[in-house]
Amino acid sequence: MTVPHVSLENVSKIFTRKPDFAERIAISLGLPKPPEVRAVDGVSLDVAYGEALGLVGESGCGKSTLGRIVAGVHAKSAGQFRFDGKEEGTWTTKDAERARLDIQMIFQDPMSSLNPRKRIVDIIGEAPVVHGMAAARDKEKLVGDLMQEVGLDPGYARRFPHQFSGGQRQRIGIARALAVQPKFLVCDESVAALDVSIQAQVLNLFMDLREGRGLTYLFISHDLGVIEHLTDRVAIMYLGKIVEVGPTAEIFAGPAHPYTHALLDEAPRVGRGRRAYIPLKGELPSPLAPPPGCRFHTRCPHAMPICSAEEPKLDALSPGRVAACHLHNTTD
Amino acid sequence: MSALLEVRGLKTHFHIRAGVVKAVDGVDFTLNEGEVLGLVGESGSGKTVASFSILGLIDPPGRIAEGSIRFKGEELVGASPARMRQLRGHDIAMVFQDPMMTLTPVLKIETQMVETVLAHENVSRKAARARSVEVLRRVGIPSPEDRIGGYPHQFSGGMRQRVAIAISLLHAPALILADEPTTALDVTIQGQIIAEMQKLVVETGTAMIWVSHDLAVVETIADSVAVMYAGRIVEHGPSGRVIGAPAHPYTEGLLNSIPSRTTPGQRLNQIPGMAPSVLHLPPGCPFSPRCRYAEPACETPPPIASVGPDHMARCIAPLNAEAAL
Repeated sequence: MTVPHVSLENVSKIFTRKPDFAERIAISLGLPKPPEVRAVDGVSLDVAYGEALGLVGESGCGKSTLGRIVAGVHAKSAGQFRFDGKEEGTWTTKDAERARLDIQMIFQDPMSSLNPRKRIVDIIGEAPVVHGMAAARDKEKLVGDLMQEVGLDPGYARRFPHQFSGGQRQRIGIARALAVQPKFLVCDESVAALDVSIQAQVLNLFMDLREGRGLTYLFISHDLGVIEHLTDRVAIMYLGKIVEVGPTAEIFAGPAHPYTHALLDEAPRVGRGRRAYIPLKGELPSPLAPPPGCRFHTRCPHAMPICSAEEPKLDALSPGRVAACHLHNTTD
Repeated sequence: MSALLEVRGLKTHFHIRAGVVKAVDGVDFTLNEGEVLGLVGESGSGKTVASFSILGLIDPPGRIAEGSIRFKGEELVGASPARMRQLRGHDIAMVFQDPMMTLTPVLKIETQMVETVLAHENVSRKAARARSVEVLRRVGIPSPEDRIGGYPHQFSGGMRQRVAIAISLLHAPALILADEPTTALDVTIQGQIIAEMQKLVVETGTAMIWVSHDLAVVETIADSVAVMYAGRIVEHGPSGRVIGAPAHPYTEGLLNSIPSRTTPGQRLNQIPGMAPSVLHLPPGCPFSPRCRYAEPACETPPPIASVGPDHMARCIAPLNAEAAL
């Protein structure tokens, strides 16, 4: 078996609040600690070289947290993270630097991720100079080439972020990520804030870059149309857990998990015409107190007694396809 | 069916230091009773300003420069602020994108709803509260008798939007303006809200203008669709026609930009460039610099012309036009 580009094994992220003075006294007197949120709970996922993996879920399901763990923005609480086959705990300083440069992130809101006081040439050109990938005197040329690559006029290099439109700002964010010659891009809702016609332009750019630079993508989105278009494989998350993984075309043709089914069913799509909705009941339960057993059972139309008692495991359905649902549990 | 709302030649302009921003520049449409119109456009196309104009919510430096808005035959352009206050919330209600914008965080839902009832009707507090509970139940809030005593922050985003919709329904308005009501919500919650709105519109016979950038959402709920570009309606027709056989190249471009309509992995048929600044509109057809069918004749502004039954487009060479016309 080939080594995956990025591999997560049982990765969890727990957010806790530091107890204040009064709470520390209360805890020392035997009162319970403040609640913790398991934003990501025991997730295992591999991303192969050159693959585009989609990560789908509703707000609060932990998809962004998972993306940030991969990009090194958040530290994981537990589990193993491997890059190029090397576990994070065994990284040398050099390994760590290479992993952090090789994995770059593109954020949702380009305005809040670009420093408003810096000129574009500095925003894009700073990192490669700091990391010794380019000499300071070559910065202008490097930035010009990158701007050309992402479809911006290099003549605008001396401008500030506020002088650009939303779509252009997103291109600046992409150019900044590309400046350190990454191999792996984490795109967190990178087209969600854009208008449809601009979104199409940026999606085309992502596809061109993938071809031109052979990039691996982790594409996080709630927009199923974007995911279907751009990715080879897709992972569906619900309340911090992965409920289904498989090739995008297969999952869109026949989802195995009831939650995936509901998501696909409810995404409005052009060309379906006017129709009556049979929406999923209820809302996402609080991640502070996830329901016992299968976390989806409170909203699932197929819930059985076992669903609230026992947590389903991710079972292989066919090669490359897994789902965590008792409906598919054929082993017992 | 009689016309409930007639908008003719509506121009809403903003006078700022840099010049005159013609946010809405000549919009015409008619809405019948019980009809659902989808108003589609990208940011800056003027769709929100158009709906705010109907409610008389345009503040300086903006003003309605020209045109007429007739609601049940009554002229709303130039109507007194007192009259507009009577209409707003009673005959014409609005649901905003962000329910936090319509709900004040410091008052209980009950206070806010009872106040809305009492602003228009002389009824007892008890009766007002009973009606509020009733509409909350209609929009699908579980145990409304208890939840009505809560504050907005105790509700989730989807539930808050349901409360906002409930408030808009308090006086059984003839027209609801919904400005991107599901954009901020998750897919499954969006599905719930659309289902709720579909049901309510049929039950109450309310007409609705659904403002959105999402053609897919609009298609599921609207009878007719109007597409806006640079302050004007460029295409208007039955939703099946506009989405199935678009006449304006911009509508076609928008549809082609939606990823799920193209084979996965293939390049999307994008519209080049970006929407022009409404301060410096190109002469002639404002879409012509981005249009792949542009020809020299596009330098004169095209009139809106019929391209099929109830279907109009502002283009000199409409696509998919019916040969008979």
